[in-house]
Amino acid sequence: MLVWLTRHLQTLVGALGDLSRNPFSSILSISVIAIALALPGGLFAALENINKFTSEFEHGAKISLFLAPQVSVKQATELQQSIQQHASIKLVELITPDQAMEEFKSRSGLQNALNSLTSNPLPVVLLAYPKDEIARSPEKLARLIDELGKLKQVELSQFDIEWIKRLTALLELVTRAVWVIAFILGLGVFLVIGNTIRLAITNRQEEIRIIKLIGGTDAFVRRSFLYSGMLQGLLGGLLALLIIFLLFSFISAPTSSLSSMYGIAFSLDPLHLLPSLLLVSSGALIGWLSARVTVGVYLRQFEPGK
Amino acid sequence: MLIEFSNVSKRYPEGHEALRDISFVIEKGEMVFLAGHSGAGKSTLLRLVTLIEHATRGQVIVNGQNLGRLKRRKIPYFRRQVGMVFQDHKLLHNLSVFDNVALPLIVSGFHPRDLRRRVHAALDKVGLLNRDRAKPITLSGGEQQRVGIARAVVNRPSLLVADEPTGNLDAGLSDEIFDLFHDFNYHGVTVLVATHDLRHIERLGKRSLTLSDGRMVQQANTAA
Repeated sequence: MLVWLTRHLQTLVGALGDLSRNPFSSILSISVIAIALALPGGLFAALENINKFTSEFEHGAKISLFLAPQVSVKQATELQQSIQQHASIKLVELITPDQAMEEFKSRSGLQNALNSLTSNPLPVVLLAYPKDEIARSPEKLARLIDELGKLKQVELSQFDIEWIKRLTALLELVTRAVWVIAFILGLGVFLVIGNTIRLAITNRQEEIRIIKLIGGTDAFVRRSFLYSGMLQGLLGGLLALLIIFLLFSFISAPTSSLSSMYGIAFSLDPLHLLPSLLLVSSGALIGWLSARVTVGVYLRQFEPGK
Repeated sequence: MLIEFSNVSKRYPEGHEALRDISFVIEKGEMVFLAGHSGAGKSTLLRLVTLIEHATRGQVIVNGQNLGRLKRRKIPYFRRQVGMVFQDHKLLHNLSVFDNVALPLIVSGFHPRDLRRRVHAALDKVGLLNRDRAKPITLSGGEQQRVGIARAVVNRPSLLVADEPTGNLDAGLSDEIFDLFHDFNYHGVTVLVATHDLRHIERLGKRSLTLSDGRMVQQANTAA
């Protein structure tokens, strides 16, 4: 056990030494691996964030009821209370024209233009939040919207369910596209590592022949290349994580200020722990597999007699 | 007996017939010279003994193993029983002298605790104990060959095989190398050395096999 362990440790240290002996080409190939892994990793993180964003939307599903201009705030309050009694409604909020104007001024940046208005043209708005079981069923929701829209005080009832449906369908498509990209780039990483291993084998062919001459098994020769491939994939994966993290912190501030303009508290999350581990370990796994295949193909060419 | 060749021929794929119908026996504990001009087949014969090549016809038995029947994955374990010395040393120049000599122990999974002692013993034997941290490239040709010999014996093989070990060395250094082989033989190691230098054969008075154009032309015992 001790012998086995020291032997593997020696090989690992040796593989690290090989990488540090050619720092330029090692950094180059690890960077290529990192970029190839960072792209699908970053896209997955972006998708995660978009999913989180849309689920927040669905959670806050609300029907906006724009009341007719002649309806006063007092009448609107009575209407609010009557809708509140409806079996499908969880909560109704009332926004007075003054509140709406204040909000509009603070967010639109049109403060000066709005100040010049002599009267407030905005109607009273009721925000009706349907109960969760209604919000989850598009048919029931449509019926409710229809019902509320027919109330005589209501001029316009609006619920943007269609765009969420379309966005969800689009996200499904994009997710599949990202999987395809991940597969292609994973294959790219496989080939990049395979190529560096092939070069390493060619550079060390004399060493391989000598090790075989003094009784080194194929497994012994193979081991250092397997470690080298695995290490490259691992370091590439870690660097990819770093790239994703930097990228997200770079666009995080503008994203939250943009989303706050839409009145949504939304912060960008970089990759979570589990997907991060998955990214790094798949890098290492691809590296190991690639080295295994490459060594299998090339090692037999370097028998001592040839 | 340690090595037995029975009607062995070797033809290379390009058609060159390197060995023709060779038969001989080397007993355990013997020291035998393999003589002949360059191109006579000495190297090919040693390549058959160390399984770098396989015989085209006939049977080669080393240490009780029929080499024609040895499976590919068993070859490394067979080679660990044979110490090999080469004309061009075949040292790894990115490793220190110590690491070069330790390599056969490392590849065979030798316990790290005893490794240092074994390597130092082998280096001491060839008189290079004080150079263990040097890189081979900084050593003279004779010293490099002695590192090669230390590497060949560190595993304590029962058979030591050398192909023109003094091919690039002057007479004085050659004598030192052959005296080392003689000494290993004295301690019980079977030694088979190929050389075109007849002077050593006469000086050490050992049996010699002479090859010419792939045929065994003489099996002489000069020890008498």
